[in-house]
Amino acid sequence: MRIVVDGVGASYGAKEVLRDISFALNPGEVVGLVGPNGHGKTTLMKRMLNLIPGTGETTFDGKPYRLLTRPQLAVGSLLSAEGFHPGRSAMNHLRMIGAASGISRRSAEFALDRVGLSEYATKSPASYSMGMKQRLALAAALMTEPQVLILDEPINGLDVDGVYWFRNTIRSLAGESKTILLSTHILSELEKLADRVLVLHGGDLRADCPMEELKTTTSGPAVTIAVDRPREFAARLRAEDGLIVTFNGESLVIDGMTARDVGTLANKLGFTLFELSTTLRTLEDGYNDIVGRGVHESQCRGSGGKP
Amino acid sequence: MRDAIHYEWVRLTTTRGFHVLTAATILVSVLFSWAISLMIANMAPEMTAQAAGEAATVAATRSPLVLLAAGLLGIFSFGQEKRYGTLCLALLAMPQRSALFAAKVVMTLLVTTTWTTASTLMSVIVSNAVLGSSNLLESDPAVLVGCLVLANGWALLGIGAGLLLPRTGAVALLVAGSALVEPLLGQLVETIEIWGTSAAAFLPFRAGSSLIGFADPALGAIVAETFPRLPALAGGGLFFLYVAVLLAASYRKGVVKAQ
Repeated sequence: MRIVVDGVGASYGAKEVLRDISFALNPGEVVGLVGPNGHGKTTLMKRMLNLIPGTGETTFDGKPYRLLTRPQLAVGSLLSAEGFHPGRSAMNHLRMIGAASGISRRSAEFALDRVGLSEYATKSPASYSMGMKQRLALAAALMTEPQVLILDEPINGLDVDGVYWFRNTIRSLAGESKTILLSTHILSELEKLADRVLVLHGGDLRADCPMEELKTTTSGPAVTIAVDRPREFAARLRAEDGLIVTFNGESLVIDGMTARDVGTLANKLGFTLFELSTTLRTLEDGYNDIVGRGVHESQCRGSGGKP
Repeated sequence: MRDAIHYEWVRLTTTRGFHVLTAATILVSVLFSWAISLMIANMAPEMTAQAAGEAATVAATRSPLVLLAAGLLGIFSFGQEKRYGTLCLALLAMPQRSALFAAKVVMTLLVTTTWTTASTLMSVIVSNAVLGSSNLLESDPAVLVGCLVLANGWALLGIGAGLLLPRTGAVALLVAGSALVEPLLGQLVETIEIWGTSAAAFLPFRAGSSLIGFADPALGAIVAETFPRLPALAGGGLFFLYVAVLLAASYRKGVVKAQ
């Protein structure tokens, strides 16, 4: 199922929290949504699912969410792990959610089993740990075997086994051509999961990039070098080549050159090399370039699938 | 719509509170009926069959829990979902807010009708037995139907209050409004006349109580209902006008403006 988000905006009172967000999600894609707290990730998901009013529109294979017949069968979502009545058991909670989509008790049982909560099916989620509540919310999202998953911080509270299970489940679902959008603050985990990343900042879509491009969108891999006179070498690089050079202990970290070029240059200038290595950039580096260092427009914006 | 009603049914019947409220409504209604019947029998031992029939009907329709339970059911239809965050899940399953609203109204009215019918039937059996009126058909059908209609009005009032206010505020509106604020207000405006009737009769809950009014003034003294009332149809109509205004405001807030 293809999702097109077109010019979506939202406000809370006078405060505009989302501005003209547009992107598309394609079947089989796992797309990460990242951004600081309070910068519109959850609001964007709620707006996509028609839970709050606003401008623009999101369509699921051409239809807005509100016009989908039994929408849960097409779109599974997790927006909060806390939505349950303390007097209702986990099994009945799933039965209630599934009732509007004709989901059987057996499907609810299967979903609980899938997330490892069968033993606790008759207990109230109020007695659950945070990770168990998160698993229950995931069970609700997965229960209908939907074509699309929209998950807001699904890894929060999961233990190591849970994260491993979640990662495998998501990759396996992507292999079945499901469309998956998930937000998280755990960038190292997202790096293992997502094919593409959307960066929201201040209500604007700052970047929409394939994962590998986002990591290197503002600079290439950094080179770490240890030489006999590091301060002198750093000064030469800054003065003659205008490179960004930072110190990491006695080593230098250089942006904008390959290891081969740095090694050749050090040799040419008569410095003795003790260490030379390339540090691959992470999603965190790319994210920090866009959000932390205020790079306002990523070069790859839209290349991942602008509608 | 069918899906939404199914959702509502599962939502209601999977909490312990619903079953407790059902049992309590019926039990308290029967106990009230028995107690009031005994009181009437002691205060007026010599009654005609007709008077006994009317008294039995009055006794069977005076449990405050029937109306309160209907109101609570209405409040909780949205109030519980808002309080525990399940409304979001409901809207994800049924994004047409108007359909969800309609399903909640239908299910609340169905349950209220069942509760009221069951509790009134059992209460009227008890009161007839205590007052020696063996023929149930001697009960006043207008009052029995009025009780059913009034309970459904309270349920609608609860839905409106539950959408407009936080859960506690909505409960306070029904409980304090009917048991405290309106009686006080009624005393203040009792002497003011509108179209030859005391202005107190035009207050919402008083107007609604006209639906379970009775002809024999002696009964009024026994059950402590001596306040002025409008005729049943006029009072009922006015009560439902108040209900309609509240429901329209809540529909606008919870359905129209939210989407």
